[in-house]
Amino acid sequence: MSKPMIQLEHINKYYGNYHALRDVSCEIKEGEFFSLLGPSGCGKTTLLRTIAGFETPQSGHLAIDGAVMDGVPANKRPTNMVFQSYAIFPHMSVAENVAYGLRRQRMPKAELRKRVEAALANVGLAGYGDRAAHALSGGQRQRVSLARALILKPKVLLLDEPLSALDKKMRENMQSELRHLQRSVGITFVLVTHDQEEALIMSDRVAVMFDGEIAQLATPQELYSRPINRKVADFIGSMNFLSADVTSQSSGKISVSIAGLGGADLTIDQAPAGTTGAVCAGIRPELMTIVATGDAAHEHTADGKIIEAQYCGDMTYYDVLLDGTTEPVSVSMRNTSGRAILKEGNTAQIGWGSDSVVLLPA
Amino acid sequence: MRFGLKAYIGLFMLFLYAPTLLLPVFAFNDSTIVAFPLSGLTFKWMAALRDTAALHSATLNSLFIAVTTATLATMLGILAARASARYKFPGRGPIMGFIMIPMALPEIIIGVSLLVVLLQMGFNLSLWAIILGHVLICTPFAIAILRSAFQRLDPSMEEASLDLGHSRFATFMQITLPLIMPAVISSFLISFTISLDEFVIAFFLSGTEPTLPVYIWGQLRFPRKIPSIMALGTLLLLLSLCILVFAEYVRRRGARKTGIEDQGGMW
Amino acid sequence: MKIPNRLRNLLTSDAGRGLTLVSPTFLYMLLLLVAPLTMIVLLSFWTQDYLDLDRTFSLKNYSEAWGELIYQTLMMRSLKISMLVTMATVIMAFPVAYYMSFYVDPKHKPMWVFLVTIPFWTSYLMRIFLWKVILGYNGVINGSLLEIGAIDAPLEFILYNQFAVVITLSHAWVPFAVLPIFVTMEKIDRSLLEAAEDLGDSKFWRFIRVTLPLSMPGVVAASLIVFIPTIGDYVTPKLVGGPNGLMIANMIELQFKKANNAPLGAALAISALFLVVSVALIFVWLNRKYLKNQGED
Repeated sequence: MSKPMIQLEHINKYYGNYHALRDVSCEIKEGEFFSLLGPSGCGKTTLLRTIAGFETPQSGHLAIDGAVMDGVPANKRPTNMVFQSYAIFPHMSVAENVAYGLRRQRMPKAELRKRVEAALANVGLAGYGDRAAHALSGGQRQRVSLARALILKPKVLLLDEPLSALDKKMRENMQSELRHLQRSVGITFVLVTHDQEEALIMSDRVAVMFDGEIAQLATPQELYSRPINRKVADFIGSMNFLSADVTSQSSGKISVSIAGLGGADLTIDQAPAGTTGAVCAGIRPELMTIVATGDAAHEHTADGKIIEAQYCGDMTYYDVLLDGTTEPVSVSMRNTSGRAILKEGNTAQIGWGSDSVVLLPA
Repeated sequence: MRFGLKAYIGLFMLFLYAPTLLLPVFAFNDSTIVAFPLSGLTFKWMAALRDTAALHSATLNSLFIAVTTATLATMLGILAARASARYKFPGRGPIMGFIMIPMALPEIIIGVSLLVVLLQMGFNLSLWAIILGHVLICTPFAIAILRSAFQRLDPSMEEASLDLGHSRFATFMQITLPLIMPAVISSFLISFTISLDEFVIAFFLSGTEPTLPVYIWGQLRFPRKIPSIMALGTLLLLLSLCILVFAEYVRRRGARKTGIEDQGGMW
Repeated sequence: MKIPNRLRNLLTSDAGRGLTLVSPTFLYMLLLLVAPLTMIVLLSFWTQDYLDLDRTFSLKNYSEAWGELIYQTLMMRSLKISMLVTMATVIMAFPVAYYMSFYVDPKHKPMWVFLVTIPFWTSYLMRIFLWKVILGYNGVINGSLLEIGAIDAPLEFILYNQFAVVITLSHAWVPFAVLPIFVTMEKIDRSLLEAAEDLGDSKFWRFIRVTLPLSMPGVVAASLIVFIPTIGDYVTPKLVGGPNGLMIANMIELQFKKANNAPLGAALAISALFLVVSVALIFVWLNRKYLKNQGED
């Protein structure tokens, strides 16, 4: 799984004066589920289409499975794409859609039919071959476009926001299905999405993009717990940012003082961007606890007052104003049995651990 | 207010259709004078049409011109409409604006200028001269119809076809053309109808082989021929209606087959 | 065939593809529009003396076209008739477009569009000729009015004059006026009218203050669509205009055929074209000035 399948080197793409992709370089490994994540306009779709061959970069190189793709048109690349609108041909049946790419390879009709049926069964649409393509639901269209792409056994499957047109329930189902599909088929998937939950759930690695550049490329766990800067930290889940000062630093250990929370000793990996320059401390809402009597001792505690409490069934989201600070922090608590749900105005003690903190450029 | 509006609409429709409704009336009226009161039913005017050789050759000329014009105008229209809808190229606005000009030019200007050029270059006036002129005025209509079809076409359809390995030509034949077919047919039928009925350019460029409108024009000065002209007009009316109904049927069928929403006609 | 990278990039770029696709059509138009029009312009500066074509540059044709009373009269008359036809068609068409857009069930709208345009697809010559039949001495109107005793003798003022030309042309072009106005009205956001109602406007005032101004772009389009071709109409004045109803196109044809003075005909044609374009541009400019606040697409 460690051989590079896609190699992008210094890709630059301009639309007129607009610099859509700024010197993008990265490697996507064979057999991995790779996501391009970012807000709209960040260039992720442009990058995907560049891999597919629908956009030509002004400079830079692209290689797929070792073969250089400069000047190779889209229809000759070993990639296949699932389009955001699915692009199911409305004037053909489902079977004709799925067989479309195979038509170029002349094969006996019986063989073709068998392969189409297998492809449809693979995506859970066995027996749908004779249906008219335009009469399908959104979820069904998506599966047809998957079957249509996968039947050609491409080296890379590209997916352009495949789940954004589906409703929430459907989306959640498809997320796990896509994951299983990728595992069973074993080919490299490159997915574009603006939904960070989706990227975290499905991917082996994620490249977070802003303004045409890759801000951070890491596994979901690394992205979540060790974001490289505030922008990434804020985009993935939600994060509290507190002003902090580095009080001392020696080999492997950083001592910090965090506004409202107090002092803590951090290890060097908790500062992925280093400690030069102004820093702030980031801590996830779920990594702080509202201390209740009977709790095991917390490493650190801090005092504060509940400003707002939002009950959401399985969770309650609190805004807590820590003593000595002016901006509240978010604390999210699971509503486990026996745990009191606090109200506005209650005082509270917040428990937290040093390993929950990440130091980010301010 | 509502009743007044409805009454107006009724009068308007009467005004609009009145002349056309008279055609069948006088085509079967047993009198050489086209006036009321009516004189009784006859089919002799229709029969007279069957026996007029000049009419037949004029009709054949017109059909030949119309089919050729429709084909050429639709082909040119497909190229230009696709270019305009799909690609951003320098000078797109002015180039497309220029191509649409013949739609706005008075036909007499076109007829006269083509006449001058063809005579200067020593070409004989012939059916092909008329075809050149007709393609000039029909292509803008073809482009207008086809442009909206191309704009409604999801660009990822063609990209998907390329992505799945097919060439650009195969993509055009297998995906693009089937999906714009209703507009192609509309464009063909409209160009056909415009060409069939066009008089001024044909009048200037027809030389010794008249088209149907030119033939009709020649007959109008003979009062005794008028009832048979009425008969001819009735037949042409039926033909136009058939073409229109057919065009509408094709459009609806195309929309049903591909599931694209009914946009309400070529407009 | 090895194409150098830069050239291939150029040809397959958006711009390259687009220009290649549009070039056949563009070149066809160039050849068949620009070349002939250029010839006509050139011709208008030459003079014809019976059978001899004198190619020395001369403004004689233009001074004749603009100076001689007969041509001036014809051009002014053509302009007048065109403007009358434009006004008549727009006024007739507006209520129809309004009805179609605001009163007709959306399911039936395509049907109505179809109904309004059918007459256009019947033979133009026939329709003009039928108006001759309707308005004639022994025609339908006179026949019916005599029959019911409303008049003693056939009306003679309804045919072979400018009145007949205006009526006939209006009838022919009114569908073309209905459609642009209808299309523009369809685009009016209905919630604007609801907002106006909510803010206190009565039906009449909603029409005056919301619907009417927002329909104006359609009215402008309809006016141009009708005005420009009708000035150059040949058939209608010839068939129903009589001696006093002839228009400039008839004179142009005369010069090219019987009078054998193609250069003068060319000068008349160019002058007429110039007149049409100027009036149209002035009209559009006036509208831009007074309808500046409409967000037209």
